[in-house]
Amino acid sequence: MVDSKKSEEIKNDFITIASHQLRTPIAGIRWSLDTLLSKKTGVISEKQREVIKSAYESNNYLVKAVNDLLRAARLEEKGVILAPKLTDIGPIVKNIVKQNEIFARAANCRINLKSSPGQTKAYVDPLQIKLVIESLIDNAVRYIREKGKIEISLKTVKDFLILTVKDNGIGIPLSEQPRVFSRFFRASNAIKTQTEGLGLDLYINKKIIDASGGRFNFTSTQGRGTTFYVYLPLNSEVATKNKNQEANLSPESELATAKTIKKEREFVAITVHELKAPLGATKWSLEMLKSGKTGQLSSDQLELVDQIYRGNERLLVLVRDLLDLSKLQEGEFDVAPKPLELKTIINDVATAFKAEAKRKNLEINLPVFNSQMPKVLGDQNRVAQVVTNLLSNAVKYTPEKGRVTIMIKKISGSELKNLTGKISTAEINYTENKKGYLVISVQDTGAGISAEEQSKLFTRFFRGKNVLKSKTEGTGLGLYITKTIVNLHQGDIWFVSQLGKGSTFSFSLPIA
Amino acid sequence: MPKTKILIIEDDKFLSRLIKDSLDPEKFEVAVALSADEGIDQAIIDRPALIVLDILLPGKDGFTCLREMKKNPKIKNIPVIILSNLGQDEEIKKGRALGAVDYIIKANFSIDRVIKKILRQLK
Repeated sequence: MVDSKKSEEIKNDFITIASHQLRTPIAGIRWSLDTLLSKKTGVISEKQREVIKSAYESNNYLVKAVNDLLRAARLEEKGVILAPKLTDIGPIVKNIVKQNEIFARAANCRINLKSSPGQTKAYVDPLQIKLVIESLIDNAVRYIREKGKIEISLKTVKDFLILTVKDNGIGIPLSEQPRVFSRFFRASNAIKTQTEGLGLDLYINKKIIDASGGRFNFTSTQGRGTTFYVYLPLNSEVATKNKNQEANLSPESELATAKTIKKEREFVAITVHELKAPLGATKWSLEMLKSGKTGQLSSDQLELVDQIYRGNERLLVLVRDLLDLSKLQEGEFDVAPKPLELKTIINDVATAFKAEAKRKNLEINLPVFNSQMPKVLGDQNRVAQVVTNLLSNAVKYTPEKGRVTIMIKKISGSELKNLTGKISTAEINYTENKKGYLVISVQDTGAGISAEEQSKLFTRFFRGKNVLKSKTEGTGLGLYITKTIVNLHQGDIWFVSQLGKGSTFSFSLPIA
Repeated sequence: MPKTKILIIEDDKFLSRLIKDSLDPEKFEVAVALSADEGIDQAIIDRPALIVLDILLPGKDGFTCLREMKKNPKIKNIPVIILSNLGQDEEIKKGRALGAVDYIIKANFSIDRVIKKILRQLK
């Protein structure tokens, strides 16, 4: 196969795809905000600058959150992979301190790097250790109080080079200290000073230092400050000796692997949830800008703001889908079916697409509802999600002046059963409801789906080969989630499609 | 003074435009290629001073593109900066091993810093 070589070049795993999908719109947003702030597209008012700045901060946090999430996920999946060599830590620390000085001065605090006599080399992976030191100094500055003081020193004691980062910041409450290195740990007093943060830094740092054959610990007094000690091995013998001790302490077992998988899913749920807040904040900032309340925008500026807005919307959809996916995997997806009238749901969903349909000059036809139309058993929000997804696909993939039609039909269980075999994509499982089913169909005059692609349409996005390459908005998770929701309602979903003519997606729901 | 030529191989036109707009048009002549093959052809014709290369491209990916460029004696000495949103350690190591002079993860840098990194390679 031609494709097989290509997929070796770039991994098609969840983390790679998630990282790419998340970072692409984030980079677009970041660079657009940069360009707006640089005034290349025109002057901005003080109010506009404020709003753009706050969007910028949200975006910055998002970058950090995504990076931490991906690093931690990668560590858990593969363990720590290091390329250690004899590395001079002195210049690395000096450089990081220099980078942080402006930031520190803005917070009215001082960083004092004690010059270290003697050698400052250690046997570590320079790339990874740099990230560890960066995050320690960054954290020290972040949680410092006014007129804070951070002292950093390096010295060699026996087999180790010891890096000490001492601050006189808020400290860690004694009762919480045992949990400092666990995932998502955030000290109660830290949350008060700094609302943002995933609590992954120390967890990741510890893993990296342990795997390097070093040691990582701290002393802390609440209200007085914290000192972190990083012990880095001086040579490969020390590193190996310490790593082996570590390995003996925690033997790997299959049980542990299963536990890790479960943890990983919770992990995705928590982090993905964390991503929602900054996205919401950015959305509001952008709406402020667009509304003109903070001043008029030039057409170049408006174009950038629109671009940022679309990127943000794309992220919101992605984050929502990832969250749904992790809930589905956990079996925690809430579906509470009740007798439900479809009329309001379908009308509401269709209204949301009016503007987009008008822009593309599309005709949206709704079914005629009469009093004979029975109620179905459905969860109002989830059924709305299904209809939204199908309608959004139809509107997105139908070219200008096309037509989207929603239809509803009553059908018996045995009639449904007959569809299996008749329609290649229909695999009907639910036909037992005595009162029969309503079938809701969304028909479009769009591009259609090729026979080859039809078979994999409902699979999860990381199974698809072209997800990484495709530039169309959306996550490729939508239909997978949609199918799962329909199935949770004891209904089925299928479609018929012809390339160049259009597609009709249908799903069944049991009559109440 | 003749302008310095830079080639950006990137299929996201919006991003390449933002980079292009941030480079001084008096000093730089920026060409954009939308695919690996187009990029290689353009590089052979133009002989730019620097190539900025994305990894996920339609058709051939950036790693393959880089490997091919490094095999071609006409263009193998042109420095290549990888600018991508893929950025696991393995990918960064791979890019470096194939001969990229820098590996920039798009989302991690402001556009100013991306430009600075580009200029640094041109010094």
